[in-house]
Amino acid sequence: MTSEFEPVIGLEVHVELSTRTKAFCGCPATFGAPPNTQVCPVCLGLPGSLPVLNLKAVEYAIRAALALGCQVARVCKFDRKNYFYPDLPKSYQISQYDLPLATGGAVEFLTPGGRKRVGIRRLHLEEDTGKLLHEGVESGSLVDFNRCGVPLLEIVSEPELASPEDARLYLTALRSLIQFTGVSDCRMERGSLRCDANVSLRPRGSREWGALVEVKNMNSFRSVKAALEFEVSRQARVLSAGGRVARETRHWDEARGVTFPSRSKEEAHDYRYFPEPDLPPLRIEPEWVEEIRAGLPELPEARRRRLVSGLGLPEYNAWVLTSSPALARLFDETLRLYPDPREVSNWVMGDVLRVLNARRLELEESKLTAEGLAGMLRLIDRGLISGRAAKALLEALVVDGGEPARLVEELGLTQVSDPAALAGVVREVVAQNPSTVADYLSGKEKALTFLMGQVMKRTSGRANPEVAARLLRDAMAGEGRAGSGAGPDSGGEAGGR
Amino acid sequence: MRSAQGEPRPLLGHPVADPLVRARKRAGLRLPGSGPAWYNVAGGGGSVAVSRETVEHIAVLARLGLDPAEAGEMERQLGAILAYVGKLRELDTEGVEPTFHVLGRLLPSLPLRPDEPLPPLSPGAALANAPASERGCFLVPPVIPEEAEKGGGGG
Repeated sequence: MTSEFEPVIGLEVHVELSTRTKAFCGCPATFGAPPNTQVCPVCLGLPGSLPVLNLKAVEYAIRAALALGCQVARVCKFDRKNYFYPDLPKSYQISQYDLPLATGGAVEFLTPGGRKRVGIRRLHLEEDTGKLLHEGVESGSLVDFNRCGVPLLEIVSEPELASPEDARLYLTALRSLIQFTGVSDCRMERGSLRCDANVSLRPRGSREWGALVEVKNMNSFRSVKAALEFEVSRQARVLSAGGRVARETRHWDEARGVTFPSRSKEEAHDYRYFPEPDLPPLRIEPEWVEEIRAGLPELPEARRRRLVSGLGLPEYNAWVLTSSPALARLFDETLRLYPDPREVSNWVMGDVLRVLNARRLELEESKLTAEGLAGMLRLIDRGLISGRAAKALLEALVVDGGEPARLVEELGLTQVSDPAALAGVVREVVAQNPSTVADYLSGKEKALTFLMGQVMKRTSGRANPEVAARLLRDAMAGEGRAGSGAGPDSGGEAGGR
Repeated sequence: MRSAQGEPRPLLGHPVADPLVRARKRAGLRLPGSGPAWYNVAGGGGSVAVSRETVEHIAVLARLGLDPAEAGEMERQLGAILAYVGKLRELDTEGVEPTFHVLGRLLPSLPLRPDEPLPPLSPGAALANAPASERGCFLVPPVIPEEAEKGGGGG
């Protein structure tokens, strides 16, 4: 549908900095306190109060800027962005307009077509707004100013993203970078990472710019991609029909899967920025910047190099394993206890992420530890649990945590390797599936897989696959001799996993 | 002036006109004078005119209801103010560091504060002057959330 047109996408990302206090006052910035218990005259905009900038917020902003390869300004200044909305008690937000804290820089991400690099236009400091609550209020809206004044980093990309999927990958890589610097937890569901997008379409190959549409209210990585996909095809439909795309702000409606035009009028975009008279310009000494640069932790790119050239992992694995510091740490620590990079990588990238996604958990919220994961891998090696039981064990390690060997006992996942204990089940399966047995006997090796599945089902995945396969072959060979006598050789090595 | 780390931070003694101009250019930002339309006022030197349209636009942004007589008066007053300040346009400011702040000379850099919590207002005090409050929150006239506006039927 979009072959005639190509999307041009830029993202504007807001990140809440994990400082202890707010940007311009000493109010605690902790998340989840009862409404309006972390406010003071400064963040409530009471007359006579004056803002004093948080040193840590500047340091964090510089740290993030350096991680993104930005150039930190020697002088930057704060400006007032003026608009009326009940979440903004001063009727202006302290932000940075024409002299941001940092400019330049780039974020790299891996696409199926290879690495891509998207420029960062600017990075600046500003303050967050309060929160409006609408639920269950008849007479009006409720305002909680606890978040008002919490330091925010605004990171604006160049309009260089060529698809909604690229936008998602960019956002993932950006989040990972910021998380590695430790300046924010970047949790979208908590609002500590937010994303708006500018989307326009132009005829493929053209250098002209289409009308810019701003898309807001995308609350998850999934919704960023979905909203942009909707918006790109909507604009393509308008243009294909010979229409014009209106320059406007649109909101993503997650439930209906559409964007709709915002009610706010054009005037809302006239913010009448002017220099914040309460704050003189901020001069940043190069020595301070260098001190912060020297203290940067290992960033995802360096870690990826280590995983690829040091451990011999494929580049794709390295990207997935550095998609968050928590995942990277789990991999590193598990590897220390169980030094098989391939095996650990496969489990972390496969089943660990699958279980976390299915349960909508962040790794930090789960109970999974490196000890647990390594312990599980050792149980598999010792033949104490089957691969299938390991998956069930992993669920338990993620949700409840605990010592793998004990969990195996508790959950009854111990592998049954005693042929005597499995013989009954095998006999049953063979007796109840005569046609599959016949298939096997006529040379269809695949039929064994089905029968193995049946044995696993009846033993809740506890049967030792090698023993079960051998017993099945033997039993069927017996059937074959009892019948036509043309059974295949059953003496070979036992079937696989 | 002390920085939050306890030691006074040495202030920069270098001329900053160049870094400022470079930073603006790097940021790809408009230089003063090329701002939104209403900043651009006709005329230079002593005579500056503010159009009625500009006055009305600013009034809407500032949530001011002006009757025609008041709008006329504002037009005249704003024009006079801009004409007064406009005198600066007669000067050649090439290479001169912009005055971002009137205390720029006295306070060459922004004092910073350590990231240490101070006691916030008690919940009662925070809401004491609110015309209305409910469940520990300020109660304001209803604001329709954007999502709800066209989201009908979604429940």
